Amino acid sequence: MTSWQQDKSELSATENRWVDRARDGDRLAFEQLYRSHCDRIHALCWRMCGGDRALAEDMVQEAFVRAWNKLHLFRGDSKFGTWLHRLAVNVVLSDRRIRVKRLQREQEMGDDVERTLMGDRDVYAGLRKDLEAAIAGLPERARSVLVLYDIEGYQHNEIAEMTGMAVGSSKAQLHRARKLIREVLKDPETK
Amino acid sequence: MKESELQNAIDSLPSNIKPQRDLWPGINARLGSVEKGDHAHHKTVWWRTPAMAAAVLLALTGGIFIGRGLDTSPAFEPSQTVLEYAFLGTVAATEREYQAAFRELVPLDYSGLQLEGAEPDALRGSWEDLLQTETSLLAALREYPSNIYLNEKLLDLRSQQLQFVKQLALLEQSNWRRT
Amino acid sequence: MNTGKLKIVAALLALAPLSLLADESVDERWEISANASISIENIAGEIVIEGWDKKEAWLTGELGDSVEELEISASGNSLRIDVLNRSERNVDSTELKLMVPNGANVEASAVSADINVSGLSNEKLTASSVSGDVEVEISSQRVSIESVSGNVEFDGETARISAESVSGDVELSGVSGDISATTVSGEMELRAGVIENGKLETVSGDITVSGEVSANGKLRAESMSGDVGLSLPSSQPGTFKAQSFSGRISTDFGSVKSEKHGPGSHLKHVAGNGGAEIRVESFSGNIKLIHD
Repeated sequence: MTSWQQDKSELSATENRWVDRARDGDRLAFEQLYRSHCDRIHALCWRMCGGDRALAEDMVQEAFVRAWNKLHLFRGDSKFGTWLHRLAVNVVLSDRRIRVKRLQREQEMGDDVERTLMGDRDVYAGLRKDLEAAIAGLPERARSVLVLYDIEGYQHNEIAEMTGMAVGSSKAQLHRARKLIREVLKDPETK
Repeated sequence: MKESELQNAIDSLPSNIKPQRDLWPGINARLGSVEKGDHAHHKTVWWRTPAMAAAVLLALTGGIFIGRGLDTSPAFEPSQTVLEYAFLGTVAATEREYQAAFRELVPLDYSGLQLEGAEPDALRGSWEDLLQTETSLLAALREYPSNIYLNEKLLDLRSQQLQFVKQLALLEQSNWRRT
Repeated sequence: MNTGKLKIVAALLALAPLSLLADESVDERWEISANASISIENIAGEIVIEGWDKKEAWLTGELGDSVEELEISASGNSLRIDVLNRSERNVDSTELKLMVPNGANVEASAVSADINVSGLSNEKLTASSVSGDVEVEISSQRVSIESVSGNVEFDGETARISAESVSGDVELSGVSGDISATTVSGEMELRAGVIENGKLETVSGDITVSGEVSANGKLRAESMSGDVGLSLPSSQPGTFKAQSFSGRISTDFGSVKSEKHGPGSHLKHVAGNGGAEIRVESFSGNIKLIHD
């Protein structure tokens, strides 16, 4: 085994131990799971929430609390991270506050994006910020599909199942999202 | 911007974004307010506050949601066929499964449902009709435990009761999501 | 946020400008294809949908005070309208009327709002409410109507219908083909044409059916404590089976026999070539099979 493979299998084994102990009620073990997956889940929630920091934090907490409650249902036939991720997607999609917030967010969102991406000293930081802002400004359904498909790697049939829209609608929303982003990035004055 | 440029830009977005503050304390605090429960029982935890938990207990002791089960094992009649024997056995097993499934679902009282005006009463009325049927059917089965038709009706009823409870569950879930 | 004003957010694809309204009325039009897909969601109040022969959708109505936003996505062949309320408690009544091309396929969903659909001749209709009534008068290939405590009613033509309520009544007229109807405690009334596959079920509500069953068709009507009455042509061919535990069976088709062992009575009768299957069952409800 190469060292990379070794690390990966050790990581899984460790995580499985945490999951088992968390299932039995061990909070320290659950905290390890939290620390291990928090940034990923937060990225998902933050983007799905359209860059609303407070709402995203709420969603992250909600997702982990729900994971704790449903841990007994996790059977280990997928990776814990995959299961957790799906659960978080459902938490976000079923929270209607996100849809309502969209109108208010436009003004405050700019600052949120800036602050969240601070510390990114990459050369492409500027484009990244514009892109995140463009994504955050998308209409809710288009944004959800773009985030889930292009960033989080779900397939259209999975997205359709999770969102309750038809597979065709998912594809249409993705197309629409990419088109809108291109327009916004071309001319930042557009909406 | 070309499609491929956009794709590259999106691909380069980070998949991890650290939150600006540690969210664990908030999560930890909320873990405490919910009973972990015995994982062997796989309870669907629907009650969210102690008040609701008390309401569920009340509903249970009031017999509002607990159904009753077959309390006699089938006494096979000599005139019955092998298929009929097998069927009666199946019904008995299904009864046990039903009681178990039903206890798992254990719905709430209606206060959590945020339903409009007449609805809780209408639904309660429907549930009572189901329970009324259950009572009559079980009484008949006590007298004629091997009656195939009655056993078939019992299976039908269980399926209707489960259907009712599942619908209530869906209502409750969609309601919860909205609040 | 502008209180007292309403923003209607139309998707960029619709190319309609954002409009700020002074009052809570809505009046919007879109060009849309003859067989567009329409979807509308409103929690409380009313949804009225009517078909017309224009290739246009026209939304009018009064928005409740609790409405935050009317979310609309419109394209050449689809329209989606969603009423979003500020909070999901204390939702005020929003009354919407939507004129749509009469070939449009419609999906309407509500919680306490009533839904009323008429004047369409389309392929598909789905309407569901939780406590509202659902009333549909159209001609459609496939219909699905449901409510939990509201009544569901259909009058028109369809080849396939699924109608469900829990405590509400189910009333269907002009249906034929594939019919599935269930209610727990509501009354069920079916006035059908030719039934290919009928499945009717209640627990305590009565079932009343008139129609006929096709040569190789099936009709099953079951109730626990409700009475079941079937009115069929005297020439109806088929195999008739009826059974009740403690209810009374009366019939113009064949004759009733008591059970040999224990209570109950049943009926088995073959008319004509016996291809169709007509089955009626109850626990304690009375069963009546009559010539129409």
